[in-house]
Amino acid sequence: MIRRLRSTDNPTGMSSMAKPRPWMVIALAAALVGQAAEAQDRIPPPPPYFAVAAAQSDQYEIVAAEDALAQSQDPRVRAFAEEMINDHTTSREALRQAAMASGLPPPPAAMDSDQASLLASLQSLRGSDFDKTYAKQQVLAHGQALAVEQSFASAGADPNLRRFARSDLSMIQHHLELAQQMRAAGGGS
Amino acid sequence: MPPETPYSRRQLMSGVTVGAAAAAVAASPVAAQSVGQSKGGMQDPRTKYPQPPFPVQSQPWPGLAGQMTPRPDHGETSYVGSGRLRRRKALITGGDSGMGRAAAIAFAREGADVAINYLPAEEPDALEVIALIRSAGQKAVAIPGDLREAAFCRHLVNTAVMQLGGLDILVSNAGHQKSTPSITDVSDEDFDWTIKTNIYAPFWIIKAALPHMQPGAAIIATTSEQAYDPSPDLYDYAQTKAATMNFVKSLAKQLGPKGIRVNGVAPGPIWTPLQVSGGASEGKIVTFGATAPLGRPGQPAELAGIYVRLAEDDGSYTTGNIYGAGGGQGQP
Repeated sequence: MIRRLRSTDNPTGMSSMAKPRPWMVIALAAALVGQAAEAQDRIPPPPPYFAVAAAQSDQYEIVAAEDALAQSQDPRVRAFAEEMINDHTTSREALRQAAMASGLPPPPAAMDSDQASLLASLQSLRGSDFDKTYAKQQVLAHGQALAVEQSFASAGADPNLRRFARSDLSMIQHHLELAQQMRAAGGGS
Repeated sequence: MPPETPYSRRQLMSGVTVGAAAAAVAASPVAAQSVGQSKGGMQDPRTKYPQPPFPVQSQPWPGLAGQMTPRPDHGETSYVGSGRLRRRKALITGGDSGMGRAAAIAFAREGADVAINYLPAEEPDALEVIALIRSAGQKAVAIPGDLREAAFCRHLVNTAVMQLGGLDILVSNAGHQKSTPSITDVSDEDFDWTIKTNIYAPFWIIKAALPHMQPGAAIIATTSEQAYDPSPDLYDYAQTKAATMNFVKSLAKQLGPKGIRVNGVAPGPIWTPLQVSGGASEGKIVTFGATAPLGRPGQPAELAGIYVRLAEDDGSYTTGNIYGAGGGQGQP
């Protein structure tokens, strides 16, 4: 696994701006192998990148939950989806406030291409296949979101966004647990 | 008429739904008032039209544009012509709604006489289009019927040729799409329906139309992003669109030496009745277009200019090509 020492340099420096990829790879890899505890060792993304990534996560969660509310008959899945819409709408607003307080543009409500692919595969499904896939995707998505939030919460360069990440972290952790329970229950219930 | 819901956030296109043809112009979407003219100006493509979530909705096949929420924009109040198709004679299948309707309105405002085909159940939408063509000062011909019958396809072409006094633009646009998650649930009848409408009908229609088409004439077929990146629940539909993309290329080679151009249009997720009448799951309808980098579905009006371009004489070197409008997703 890729390891880098935590730099004391300003992570918003031009060199890191020009190469956004490594932290994403690190974050995703950490999420996938369940090594989120190593967040302390990871270099957090520059604040603008973090803001965009957090906004993408909110957008994906909201849209996927809207899909679930239209498609799923499972009360457990529906309750989870309601919670996602409420929490991520709140989170989106808190993120917007934090970004603006730090003089950053409000991040756009758009998802990234990986999230768009997840949503596209979800849109084709119905019934229990939908519920199972939604639960599986939610575990993955929140695992990734957790990794991104953790590194920024611990060492992000911007105080407003760091504060946001710290409060968002517990929400994401809670969502991840709910998603894991939903998945363990066989999709929905 | 479905009630307005809080979902249609910006109410941009929450137009009036009126069945009467006489009221067609008044029934045009409100969109264009905000959208403005189709020529000139600049707007943010992300917010130009409604974005998901959309209200849950479904209609029996084939569905009516007039009963969709929000109502699609086909350019009713926004498309401005400039004589690009003056004295041309066009036949458009599926001309009552969706891309076919957008093409019909644009063609008429560019000076063409237009015949449209549609299913009898689509009459309310079709009457609006007929009224719009006439209000553009052009001849309008309505030829309802189901394209799954070879005899009707030949009748369609002959009627259009007779009524229009010739034929030099053929838009093979009508399609059947039914979302089915598993191939094991696709009945032989469903499969046949899709193949007949999407593959046989263009074959019968083009074959019947060619003897009437002179050098300079153009054939345009509606294919799809599905031709290149099929959705798992559109097993049957997607392969017909791959076939369409392919026949555009073979026919372009066959007919180039005869001076007839053949091109295709590949839409991405476009807000049409086909989607809400079985073409997509309810979840996909609510989140329709969210997967596209522009974050919303396209509106038929946004493809009108592509059909005009492929039909007009200025596009004379374009043949065997597929033009797309995919919102950033899909190919070509």
